[in-house]
Amino acid sequence: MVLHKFGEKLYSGLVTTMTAHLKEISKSIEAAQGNLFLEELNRKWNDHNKALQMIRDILMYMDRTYIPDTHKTPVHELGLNLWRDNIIHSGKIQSRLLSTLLELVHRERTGEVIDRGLMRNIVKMLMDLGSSVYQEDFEKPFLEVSAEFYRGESQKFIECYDCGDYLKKAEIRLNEEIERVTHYLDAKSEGKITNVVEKEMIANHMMRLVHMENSGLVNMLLNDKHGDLGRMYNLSRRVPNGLAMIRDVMTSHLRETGKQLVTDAESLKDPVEYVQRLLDEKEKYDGIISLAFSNDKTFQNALNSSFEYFINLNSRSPEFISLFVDDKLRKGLKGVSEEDVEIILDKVMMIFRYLQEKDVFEKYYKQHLAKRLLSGKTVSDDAERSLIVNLKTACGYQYTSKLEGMFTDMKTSQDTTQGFCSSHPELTDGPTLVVQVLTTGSWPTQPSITCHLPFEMSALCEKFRSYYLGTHTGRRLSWQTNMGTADIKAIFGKGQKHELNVSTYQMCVLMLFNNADRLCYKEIEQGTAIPASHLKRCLQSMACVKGKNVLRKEPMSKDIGEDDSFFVNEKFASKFYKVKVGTVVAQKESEPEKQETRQRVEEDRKPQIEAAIVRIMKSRKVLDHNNIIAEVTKQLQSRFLANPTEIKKRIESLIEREFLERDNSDRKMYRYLA
Amino acid sequence: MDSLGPNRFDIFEIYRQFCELRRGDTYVCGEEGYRQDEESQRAKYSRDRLNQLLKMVESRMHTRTAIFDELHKLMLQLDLTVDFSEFSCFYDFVFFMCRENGQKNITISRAVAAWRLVLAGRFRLLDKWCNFVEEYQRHNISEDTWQQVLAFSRCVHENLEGYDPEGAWPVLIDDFVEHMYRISGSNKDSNAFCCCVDSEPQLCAYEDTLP
Repeated sequence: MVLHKFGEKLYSGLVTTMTAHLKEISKSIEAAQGNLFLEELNRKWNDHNKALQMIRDILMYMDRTYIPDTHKTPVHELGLNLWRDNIIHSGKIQSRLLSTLLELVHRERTGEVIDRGLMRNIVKMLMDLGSSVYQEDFEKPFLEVSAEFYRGESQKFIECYDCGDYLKKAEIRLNEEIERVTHYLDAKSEGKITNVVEKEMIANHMMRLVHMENSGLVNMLLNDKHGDLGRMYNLSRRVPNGLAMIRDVMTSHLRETGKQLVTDAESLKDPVEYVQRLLDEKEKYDGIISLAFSNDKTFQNALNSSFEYFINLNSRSPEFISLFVDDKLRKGLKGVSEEDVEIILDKVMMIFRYLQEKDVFEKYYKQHLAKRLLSGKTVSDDAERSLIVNLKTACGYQYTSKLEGMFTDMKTSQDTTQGFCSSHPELTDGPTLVVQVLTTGSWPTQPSITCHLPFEMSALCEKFRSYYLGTHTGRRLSWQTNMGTADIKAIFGKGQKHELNVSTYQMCVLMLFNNADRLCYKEIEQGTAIPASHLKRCLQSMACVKGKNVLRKEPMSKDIGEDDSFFVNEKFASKFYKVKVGTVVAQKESEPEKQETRQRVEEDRKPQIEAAIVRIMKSRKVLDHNNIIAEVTKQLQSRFLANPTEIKKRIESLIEREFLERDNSDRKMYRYLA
Repeated sequence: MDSLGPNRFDIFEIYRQFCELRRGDTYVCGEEGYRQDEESQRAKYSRDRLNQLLKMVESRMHTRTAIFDELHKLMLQLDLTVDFSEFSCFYDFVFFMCRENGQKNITISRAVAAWRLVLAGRFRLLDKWCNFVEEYQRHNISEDTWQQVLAFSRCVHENLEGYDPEGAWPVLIDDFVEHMYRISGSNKDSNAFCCCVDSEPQLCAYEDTLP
């Protein structure tokens, strides 16, 4: 027919016939009852498709020639369009189809099992008819209905579930929707429907969920609910600002608890406990971030800034951290494997990095290390050294040079003592002397008056002096009798033999009793020349402490008076052969001591600030006030937080000493004077 | 310097020389090698000359307490209201004259007396400033602090408006401002604070100093 120019007739005939046929079909579909409706529709659709295929094959020639020439719709597409217009968009069917589909989805959401195959076919049909048909006739209303459904459901859930359970429900719902899409919806719908769920179930309730009493974020953090936290992290990551909110709540909670921790009077009593609690807190949050927050960098940063914030709230943190290390290196690490030592020290280093006043830490660390080294109390040389290496990596070579100097002194002292002993072989029967030669400046020495050593000792010391100066000319030796220790063999009244481990001062006092049974305070003071405060403490530790009371005093009392008399305690008894008297254990500093250390630190900072200013000005020649302050602060940051007022004072002092001058025209500019 | 008789103390002559040195008039440049860092050479030269001048002043002055009378005499003769740079020079001269025994800084009592002399009518917070310094400052006053007080008096109003905490002021001035804030904060009747300043005849003089 096309060949005979009847193409037009054939085409319009096709349209009319097919339309009429489809009207019939539509009637039969309409007539289908209830559940059969979709099935009928599906069957007819399949039939129609088959028929359409055949028609297309038959009219292939027309499809190829007539239709392109006249710009008419190809046969197959025509069939689909007619189906769309006559069936899907026919008044009765259109609304019924939509409501049936939505009804099925709703039923599935409420737990019923539906025929997913049928659903898939119908949805596929809509998609075949063109994506706009799918979107207009199904997707849009579907999303609207879903939003409404979840709005209602989330309202209900949030009233009756706690945060954790709610999040579980939300997660399940989200997964269900994703699954639904893969089973019978267009893949493009996934993003849209999950958006709806995210918005209705999470974003709209975020605030309330996070702050939910007894089950919100804070509660989860407190109870280490990693599962719930992970869920919260994953869900809130889906909504805008969700993570920021969680991070903020975590930060403020952490700062609050941290602040309590560092200001709590109870935890301040025991420095070791204090640091342990800090470490525990750190470990707890490290765990949460790695297990629940997938090691999110922004959360790690929040954690770091929070710790830095509250650790520095307490000015004693540096001291306490050093005491903690001291405790661990003294005894705490005995029986602990080397790896564990490393782990503990690494953790302490983490905390150390948060300190702003690293120079204060250094000051205390030096003191504590000196005591450890001189009393031979360090457990592991390796652990000591590895800590120093850690400090060096954190703060640079300069920071640890003195600490390393202390170790070197210990080593050389050993050799020197050996050399001394071998050069004086006659000394083997008498008292022996172990000398530690300490470099001035490396050690936290206090200027001290050398006390009167017992004759035996001072003779020995003289010999050592001449030996040492014989090999090292041009040096000066002074005895730090306040830092030494001695082992004395003593025999008491009933022949009990003990070896007493005492300080040098205590040794001096005890040696006096070799020649006397009874000595009064004044005599001891005269005989030893020990400064009064030290003498009192050392007498107290020997006469008033139970189990260590190698001396007896009259009258009996807790304190040492200037008129007291002392005797050797003949009845002294101890289970042990070796008795340690009054060990020098590093203690938390008392208030005045703390003040003194603080003052020393402040004094030490002044030249450092000045040096920084001069360094900067030397390279810049001219610089304005605010930039100097900023640069100095930055340069010194690794050691301490410079106080702007102090920097100003240093600048003024440098102006006074003509290192700097103010610019004539702009008084905020400083000029470097070479 | 040569024009002065061996024993005469002439404040006018000293002031003339001081101003010359300050302006760098007497420095003759041209010797080889001076060109490279002429600036620092010039500064060093005038510093040396100032020190010479100071030694000379000290050797001639018998009763140093009379110094304020002399300064007052000079002040009456000079027309300080016209040119600020003239006044600034005089202000620095006062510090110079207050130095004792070759020291760089001057004592608090001297500084306060000098401020009361030169800044009268020029600094609305003068009274409070002097009281504050007398009460709280422990160390001597350095030249920098002295000079900065003049700058401070010129840019800060009596209600402390115009003070910039990051304005590179000496610590003593920062402390003063903080002290003033504390007082005015605790004293709710802030009007009294303003009034007592206004009642002084300082207003007019302040305007005059502006160039």
